[in-house]
Amino acid sequence: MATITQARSPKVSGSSFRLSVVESIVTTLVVGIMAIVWLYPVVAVTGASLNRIDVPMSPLTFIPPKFTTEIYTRLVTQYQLEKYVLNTLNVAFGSAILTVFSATLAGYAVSKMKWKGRETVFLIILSTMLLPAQATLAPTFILFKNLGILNTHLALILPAIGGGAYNIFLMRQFMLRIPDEILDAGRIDGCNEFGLFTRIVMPNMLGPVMVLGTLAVNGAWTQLIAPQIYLFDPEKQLIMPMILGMNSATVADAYAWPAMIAAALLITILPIALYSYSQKHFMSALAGAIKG
Amino acid sequence: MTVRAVTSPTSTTTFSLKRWLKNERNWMPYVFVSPFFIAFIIFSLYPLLNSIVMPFQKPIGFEGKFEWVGFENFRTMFIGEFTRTSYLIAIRNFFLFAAGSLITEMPIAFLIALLLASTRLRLKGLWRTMIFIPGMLPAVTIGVIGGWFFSPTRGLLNAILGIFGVDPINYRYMPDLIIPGLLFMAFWQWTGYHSVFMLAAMTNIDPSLTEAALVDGASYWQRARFVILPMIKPIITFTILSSVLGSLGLYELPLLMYPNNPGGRADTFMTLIVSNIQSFNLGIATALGWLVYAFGIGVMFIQVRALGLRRQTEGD
Repeated sequence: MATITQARSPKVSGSSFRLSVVESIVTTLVVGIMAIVWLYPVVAVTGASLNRIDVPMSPLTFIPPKFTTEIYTRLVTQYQLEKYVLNTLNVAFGSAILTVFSATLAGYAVSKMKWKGRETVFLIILSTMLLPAQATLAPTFILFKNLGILNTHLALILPAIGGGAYNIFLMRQFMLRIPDEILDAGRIDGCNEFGLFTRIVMPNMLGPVMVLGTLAVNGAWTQLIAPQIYLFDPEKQLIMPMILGMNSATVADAYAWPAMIAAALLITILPIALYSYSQKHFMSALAGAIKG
Repeated sequence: MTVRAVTSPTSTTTFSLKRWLKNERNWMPYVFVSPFFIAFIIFSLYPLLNSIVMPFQKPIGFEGKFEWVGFENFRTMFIGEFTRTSYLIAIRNFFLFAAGSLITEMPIAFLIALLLASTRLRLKGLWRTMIFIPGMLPAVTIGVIGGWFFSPTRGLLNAILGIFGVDPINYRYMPDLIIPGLLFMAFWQWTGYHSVFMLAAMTNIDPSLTEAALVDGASYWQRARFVILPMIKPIITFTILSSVLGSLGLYELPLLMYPNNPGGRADTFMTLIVSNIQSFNLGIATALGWLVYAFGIGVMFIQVRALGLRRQTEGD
């Protein structure tokens, strides 16, 4: 017992203070080495992508023996990466704007408005999360064909108009934090419901809206299966299927392998930037969602 | 507000649609939720209804016409001589991968979270971010890095083994190493991610609880096991559920790490569904989708029973 209390209050005696410093150094060293080993593959791969293709480089080092950015130049000149990036951004922002708009509106309605059937409607929305998404992939293919949007970006953008059940749930959790008094004050002053939404709710919900936007853009940016199934024109293809395609070209094309690695690294910039931008809100959003 | 409707004299005794419509607070909520239901009817309901009959159908040509074939698709899947194995392999791979992920990731993630929560640790934010990074990367990037790691000629694993004098191993032709290879990359991607979530839950624990245990003479491990672990159980439950459901959707890693599908052993539910859709076996793809769904529901059911998710939510 005595040793434990001593260890907790470092100023009890000189020796236990020194002990805690040693403990601190050891813990930090252990965790630091682990974290560096953990991240080494990313660093080594980045180094490999900056090496000249005809100079062998050991994966045990991350400093390229012959530094060059040729691979990254070739991504544009030979593999037309920018075309696929633009296609993906088009889909990602198109669907994210629709998602944010619909999910915040619906989230507001099921959290802050009083109306008949609200709880039932919210339950119906939630229950759609249990629909068999994998079983409807093939029927959706037929649907898109009948609607005439198969092999167009609209097939990947338009379904986002519903906002998504999970996103509506997320927005509801956030909106519950808005005090009713503010909204009632607005109502008494004669503001209509859409006005309340745009003037009071949205300005207070900028953080959560950014979380939602981040999740939506990231989801669309990293999608692989949907564009693989619903798009077959290479001119319209998105970035993830394009990288997968490079993987099968590695036998015939010596540049395909390092170029694929370089592309796989470049595409992480957007998700990492989005996450670090909305990190604070992101964790609290998920924590709130789990608790609720 | 200028857009207020002009008041008109209406009957005041009976329900009047006009009067109901005049007060926008009556119908505005329905307008607000309508996008969801419009999208649901168009993009979910029709495919859902279609997915019930599609497993018993076969497409004729590519124009969206179907013929009724009864249970032929199911026969092809589970009895057909050439196809049966791949579906059984997908089921086997799901169980191995899901169980392997939980066994390898969860205990280590908990230990890392304990380390990150240590009061002795300096530069916490930096280390936390570093081990969190793989979890932020797209699955395709993880697959590409996995292909590099296990590459016979340029890979890190063979380079490390080479230090100990082991000859290069060609992992792409060793079916038995597929699941361990996938598990290794999943471990790298998700362990840090899980531990950051556990860490967030740990920092929310009321410090008086651990202090009380300390006063009662509990050792560090006793505190971790009997105070911290039970307190973060909700987040662990959530993590296990999303990990197993994620295993159902395993797709990018096998495609990128084992594109040659050695011994046909790299098949998963999703690779089979997508390849069946691409070869226009829409009936089989849909039947397989329902199988995945059944597994997913089963997982959730077991989880609710075994981990007492219901009791926890009621407790809140």
